[in-house]
Amino acid sequence: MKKLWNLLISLEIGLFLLALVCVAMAAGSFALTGEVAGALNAMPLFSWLREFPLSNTWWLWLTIIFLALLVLNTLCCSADSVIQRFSRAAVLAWLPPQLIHAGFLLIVLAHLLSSLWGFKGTIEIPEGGGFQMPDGTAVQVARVGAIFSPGGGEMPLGYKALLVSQQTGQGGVTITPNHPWFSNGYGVYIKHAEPGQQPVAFLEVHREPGAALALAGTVLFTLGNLALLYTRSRSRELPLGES
Amino acid sequence: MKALLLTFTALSLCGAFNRWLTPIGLAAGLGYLGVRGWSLGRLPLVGPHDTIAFFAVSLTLMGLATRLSPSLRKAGWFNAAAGITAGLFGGLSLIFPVRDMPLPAILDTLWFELHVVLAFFAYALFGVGAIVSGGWLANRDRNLMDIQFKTALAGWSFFSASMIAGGIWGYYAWGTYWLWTAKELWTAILWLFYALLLHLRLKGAKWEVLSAWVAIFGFVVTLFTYLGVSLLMKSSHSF
Repeated sequence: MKKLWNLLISLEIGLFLLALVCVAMAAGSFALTGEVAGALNAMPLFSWLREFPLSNTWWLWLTIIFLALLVLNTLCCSADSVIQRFSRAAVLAWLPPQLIHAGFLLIVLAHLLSSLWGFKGTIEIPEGGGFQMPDGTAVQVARVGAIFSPGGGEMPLGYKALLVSQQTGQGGVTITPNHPWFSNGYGVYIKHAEPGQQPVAFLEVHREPGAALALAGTVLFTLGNLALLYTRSRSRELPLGES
Repeated sequence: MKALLLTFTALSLCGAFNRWLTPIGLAAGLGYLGVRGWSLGRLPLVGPHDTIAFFAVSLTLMGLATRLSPSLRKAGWFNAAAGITAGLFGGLSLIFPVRDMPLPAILDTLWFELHVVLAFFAYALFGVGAIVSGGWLANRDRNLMDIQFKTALAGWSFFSASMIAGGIWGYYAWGTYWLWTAKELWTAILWLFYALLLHLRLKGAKWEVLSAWVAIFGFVVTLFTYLGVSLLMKSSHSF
């Protein structure tokens, strides 16, 4: 049992797993091309893994396996560190790295939630048309338009759409790039629009169930990171000649 | 206006031989970015010319900040290496055309600016760390490994903050805080790679040679993440 625990908290294994995740992702960056790559961002991760053959997905399976082992290693290392150092050392000596680890673990968990229960859908809809959100909310696309530079120019900088639903009221809400509309956890994003007599909007509807957890993870991570920077910046160099 | 960038490049290269020229070069570089930003009405952070110029100036800034360390105050080799590196990137930015295009609406957000600025500060610190590691391999001054660790930690912190800003931007721009593209994969690789480097320090003095080489290779990974992926691979970050 002791041997297994030592293996689980091994720093060498942690370093090795970090390197393996890097290698698997690097391989994936070269393998990820064409329609397969496009599909990966158009559906939740586990749907993509189920839909495409192992010849396309092998690098991501490897990444997930190595990452899962790294998560286990991180959990065990943190637990061991807290148990060993909790009563003996000042809080600032042991807490910051554990906050960073906790943030990392929450972010991985957030990815897992979004990969399992996320939603991504695309809608091509003419001005005046309506669609139904996955939660049943009826939405009408009242107006579709383009955003131009205040200084002029023929090329639009982006597109906008006026959405009207029960939640928005009669006045509706205008969505633009970086300003989506959220309804019951679903976000509606404008991607593109085609002008014409009846303009057409290309919308995307997303749901990221891991978003809140990822944000919580980044808060913990940042707190730990700032505390670590503070403690390490106080460590002094040796005077010249004493190295 | 380009004269300021030329001055920055020349003074960075000359600063390799006279360390008092480096701050003047930095002032010229900051002046160039300021004037260019003023003319664009935003931070110059889009396209190869602007980003490489920003990276070059960041390298000089981080090099000067690191030079405040007692072990590097009089280290001519560090000043030379940092100056030449910044000068080469300043020169590289001049090869690419200056594009005065209006900012696409998707980039018109504070999260994008934060994401990019913090990433370049991180890249610059990773570059400085690689130079310090090279110095340690040459003269084995124990203090240099401490400086290498601090630059890696500060760089990793900037990079983490950049990824957080990018994630928030992505959530509002694309509906997700993570996209599976070559750039995002290499961003994650770079983050994990420097996490590995920071953990290597826990192994003690026996692993310092490996740590130094990892820091040097880290800058290669950094350059591939920034330039290689943007120029050679298809992603939302392509030039």
